[in-house]
Amino acid sequence: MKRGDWVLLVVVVVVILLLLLFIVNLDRLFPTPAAQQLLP
Amino acid sequence: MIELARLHFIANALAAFERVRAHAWLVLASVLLDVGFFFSLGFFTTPIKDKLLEQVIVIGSLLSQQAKETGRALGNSGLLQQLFQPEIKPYTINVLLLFLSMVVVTYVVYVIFQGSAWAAARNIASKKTVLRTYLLGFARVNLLWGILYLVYLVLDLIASLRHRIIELVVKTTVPDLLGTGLFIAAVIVGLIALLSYPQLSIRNAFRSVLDVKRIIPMYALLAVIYLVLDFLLTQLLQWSFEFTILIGAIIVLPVMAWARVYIIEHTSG
Repeated sequence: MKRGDWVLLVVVVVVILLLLLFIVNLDRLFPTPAAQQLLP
Repeated sequence: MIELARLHFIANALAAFERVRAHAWLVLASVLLDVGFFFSLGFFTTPIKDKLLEQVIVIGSLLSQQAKETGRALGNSGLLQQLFQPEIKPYTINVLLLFLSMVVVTYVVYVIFQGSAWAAARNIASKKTVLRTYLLGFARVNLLWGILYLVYLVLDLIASLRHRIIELVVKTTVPDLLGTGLFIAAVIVGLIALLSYPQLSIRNAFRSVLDVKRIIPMYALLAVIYLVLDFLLTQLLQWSFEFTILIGAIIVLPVMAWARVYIIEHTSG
């Protein structure tokens, strides 16, 4: 694989990790009264 | 059969089939990318959809609480004004942000997986393609289609609300003509979008559409194959759900890989 391909792979992995981070933090980013009560 | 093969769109379909047969590993990669696409789309958008629904429920309960207190459904102001009053405004903004993030997430997942699948299809069609160059072009071309998709979602939301209100007023079921019209327009734009992928050119896509003698038979053949598969799978579904999913994945995904190669063959030939 060329250097550009590695860069692309890293970018894709980082984007997917950012999406995951966004998904797991949805309750903190967009709190609702019910979700707020559940959070510590 | 020989007479049929002389027809340009049939000849290209057969040529695409031969190319698919000759590149089994790339077809397998294409199938895995499609599986990855559907899985990721569900995995990333379902929590956002759930969150969106949660916010809408909160807005609904706050509005009905207010209606109970004031004794009027929407007070003296309109729905939009109600949605932006201090108590409800944060949830309305959340709904808009979640809606936007769902479009962005769909765009990112689509570009990564479908862009790679189209790059694989170009390689199957013996059009040497560098993945990173193709993905960047795919992301650029899909910006326009993504914006049009966002416009469609907003218009569809307005149309379905309007339809619901009309049904509530006349107290009977009414055909949703505007919604159906919008859906047909979205399908047509989607079919034009597919034509922009072989050469990553929106101008070429519109130029191809004007060549109706070439494009209509191609899409007609794809539609017939889709309808036949849909009919067969629906029949199977009555028998066994798991078996239908299995057969569907074994047949439909390679057909999707073939369809991409066919579109590339037929539009660039």
